[in-house]
Amino acid sequence: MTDPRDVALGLAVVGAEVGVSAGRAIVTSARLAGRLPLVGHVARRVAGDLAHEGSLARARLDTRTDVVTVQVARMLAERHVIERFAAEMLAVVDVDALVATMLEHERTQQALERALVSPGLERLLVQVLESRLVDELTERVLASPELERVVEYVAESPQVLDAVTRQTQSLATEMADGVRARTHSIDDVAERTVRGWLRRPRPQMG
Amino acid sequence: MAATASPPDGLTTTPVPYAGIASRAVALTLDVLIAQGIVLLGGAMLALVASLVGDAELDTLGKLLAAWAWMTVVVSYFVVFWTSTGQTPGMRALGLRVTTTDGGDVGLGRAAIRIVGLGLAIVPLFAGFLPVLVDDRRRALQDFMAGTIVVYDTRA
Repeated sequence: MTDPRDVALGLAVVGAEVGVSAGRAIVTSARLAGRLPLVGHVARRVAGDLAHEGSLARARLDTRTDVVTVQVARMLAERHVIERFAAEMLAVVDVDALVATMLEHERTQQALERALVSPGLERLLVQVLESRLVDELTERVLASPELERVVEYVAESPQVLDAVTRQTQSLATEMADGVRARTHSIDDVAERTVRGWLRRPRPQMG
Repeated sequence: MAATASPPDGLTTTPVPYAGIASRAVALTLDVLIAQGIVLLGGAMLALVASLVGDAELDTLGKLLAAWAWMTVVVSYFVVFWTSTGQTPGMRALGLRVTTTDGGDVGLGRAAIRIVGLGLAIVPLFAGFLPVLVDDRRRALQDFMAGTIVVYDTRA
């Protein structure tokens, strides 16, 4: 059964082809007329006027296109179309799985490895580290009250105090053990030396 | 802790439980420093109070009182620790303990005699400690006088 929409579409295609053929015939005849003496001069002038009208029309069309583009963008912003679209995309797509897949993808790993071994990245990092921005950033961080709060929090933290106390006690114990071991050793050496001079050996302990 | 010595001439082969001269010297040094610190701290506080009250100059009587206070603090320091725990802070740091010759606690009388003996041992340029090097139980003059010994504290 014949679909009326196909018929309409066929008519449009045939009409367009006829229009294109007619246009080609007109352009060909115009070119021929432009090469004729007397008529050619008039034809070139008419062509020039038409070209001028065409350029003006194109400029007006560009302006209108810009206006339409701005209006469309404003409409999208006012109606939060992009946000709604992003929200719907996030609702549909499992972002975590997508990110995990991207990160674990072989090509991602290869790209990361290439970037890490590239001299360009090294130069970039060196430039960043040597830049004035890092110094200023460091100064800002050091001068910030937030850092002061963090330091106060860490200094007053019971866990930190406990760790420092244990570390100090451990260090003191180790030092005391070391001193004891050395002095006990010196005790024996001193006694042996003096007893050696006097030829008076220590009696065996029972 | 008993020291283990490697004998050069077969002089001894067994651990010795008695504290030797080096350990005792270091312990005594620590104790003297602590006692002097206590005396200085107390003296500084008294001097501060005296300067707030008035003239802080010491006359002869004041100097005698200061010397008496110094001696009291030092004697009390040693006697209290010997009789209470058997070891001063310096001896504790070095792992030493003073006991009677039969291993008992040191009483007040022995401690009093021992502090006198300690002074007598120090006065002749510490010659009173030399017997530690030759005595079988490593006793110094104050130990002979008070009937005490100093041993390595195995509990330290």
